[in-house]
Amino acid sequence: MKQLVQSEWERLWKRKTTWLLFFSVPLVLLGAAKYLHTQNQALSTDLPQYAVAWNFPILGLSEMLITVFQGIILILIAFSVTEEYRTGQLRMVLIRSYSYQEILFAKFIVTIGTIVLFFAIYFAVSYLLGMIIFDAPAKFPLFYHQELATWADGLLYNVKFYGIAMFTVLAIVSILFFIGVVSHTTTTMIGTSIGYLLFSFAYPNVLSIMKPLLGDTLYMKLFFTSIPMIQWQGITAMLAEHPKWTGWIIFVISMTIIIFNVLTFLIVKKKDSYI
Amino acid sequence: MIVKNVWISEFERMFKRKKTWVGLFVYLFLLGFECLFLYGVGGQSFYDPDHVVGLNSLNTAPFFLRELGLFLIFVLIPMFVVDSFNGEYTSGAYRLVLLRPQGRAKLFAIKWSVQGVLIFGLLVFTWLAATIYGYLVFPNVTEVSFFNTGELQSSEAFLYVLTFYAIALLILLAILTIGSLISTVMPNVILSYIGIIGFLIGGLYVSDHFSFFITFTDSIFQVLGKQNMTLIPLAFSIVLISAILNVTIWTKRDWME
Repeated sequence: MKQLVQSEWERLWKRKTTWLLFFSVPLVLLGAAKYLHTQNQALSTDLPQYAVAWNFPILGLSEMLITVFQGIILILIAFSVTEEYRTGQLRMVLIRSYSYQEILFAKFIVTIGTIVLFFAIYFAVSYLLGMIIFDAPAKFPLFYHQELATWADGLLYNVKFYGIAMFTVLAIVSILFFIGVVSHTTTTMIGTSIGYLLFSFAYPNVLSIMKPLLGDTLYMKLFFTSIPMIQWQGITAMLAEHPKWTGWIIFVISMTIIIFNVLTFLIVKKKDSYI
Repeated sequence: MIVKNVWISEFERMFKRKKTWVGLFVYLFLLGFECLFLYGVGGQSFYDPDHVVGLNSLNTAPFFLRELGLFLIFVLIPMFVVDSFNGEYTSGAYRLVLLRPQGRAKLFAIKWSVQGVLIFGLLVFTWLAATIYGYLVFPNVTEVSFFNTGELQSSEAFLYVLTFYAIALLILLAILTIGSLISTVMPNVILSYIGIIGFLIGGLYVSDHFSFFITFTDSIFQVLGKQNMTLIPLAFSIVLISAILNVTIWTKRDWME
């Protein structure tokens, strides 16, 4: 198994695309910084949305989490799951005495590892950029917190934020692995995945029209069945002074991870290894 | 005569792909769902997030594209374009077409027009379905006003809706053309698709003028309400510039790889 993971890891880093993705981190963050900088002009400094060096790591992430990060996961999985299987490159690996389940498991670990690494680099670079571009005040406000925070509180908050973000990403990876395994071509895989993401943005908005009918609690529960919505609003709700929806969100994410991995496992079991 | 045959061959190849059929069926399904959705929310839609509008027999058609446009822009068109302009080339299937002594630019024009006709057909179908649906389900009126326009008679409203769909077609063709350029430049299917999505979203970070790919119908209402003068020239230049660039690359590229 260890060798299998190692072989997957090497194949992943052999692709120029993977390196390109990692070198794009500073560019993505510069884009986010530029955007937040113009936003700052219209905001008062006592709002939590006002970007300073200490909250730039999360402000710069929350927007990119649902676009760039999802895109990166999509690319990684499209290459390693769908393309390798459909073009027959995987035959070289399947010639050994590994089952397709084992190989897929190795791919899962490697994908998660790469994304964790990506998060870590994003975190480090965003602190660096934040210090250069934004002010570094002694105290600053956090989302849904009464008290102002120091940079150390902010650091703890940011680490927690990144931790939960990685947890949500685990759910997305599970879903996209499933789509990647069932799709017959890479275009189908990407099209379906983007369709899934669009759908996850759309249905909570549709539900908001029926809010009076559903009642607040049920509405928010349904709202947070959508992983991108958890990434967009759920994480800050969970990290509030009085945390909200924590149990529900953890339940939704865990169920997503379990259901989609079981589905993938069942499909892969039936799949022909003689591709 | 030859052009016609190549065109038919291109068209048949497109419909030979299962995914074309599946994509069109999903679109039909979403169209039906959109009908139910507009009925379910009580015949209301939006010019933009701040302006609510009640639907009636004359103004329903444009609002169908508000939700369906997202599917067209981010799923259907990129999928078709990437398969046609990158998939066939990178898999080597296109060599069989290139065997015959056809002008490369001509082949490009044929591919482009096959995709264009499909988009056109989809829009016409949507317009027809939405117009009929509006007449049948929503209150009948003889006068209607749109975003930033005065009261329009039914014939004027009809013309307004047609212009609306024409601008929508222009935007979708811009996506088709820039998508074909990206597909030609990128080395494989995955990167072409991501490249197109990156262009559509990344434009936002360059300038607000490029936001019409995302805010689709909202921007078209602004154009027709004379509040957005840049969309049409911008979309036209995207079509022109990327078509010229693409033809240049097509005719010069090494097809033997």
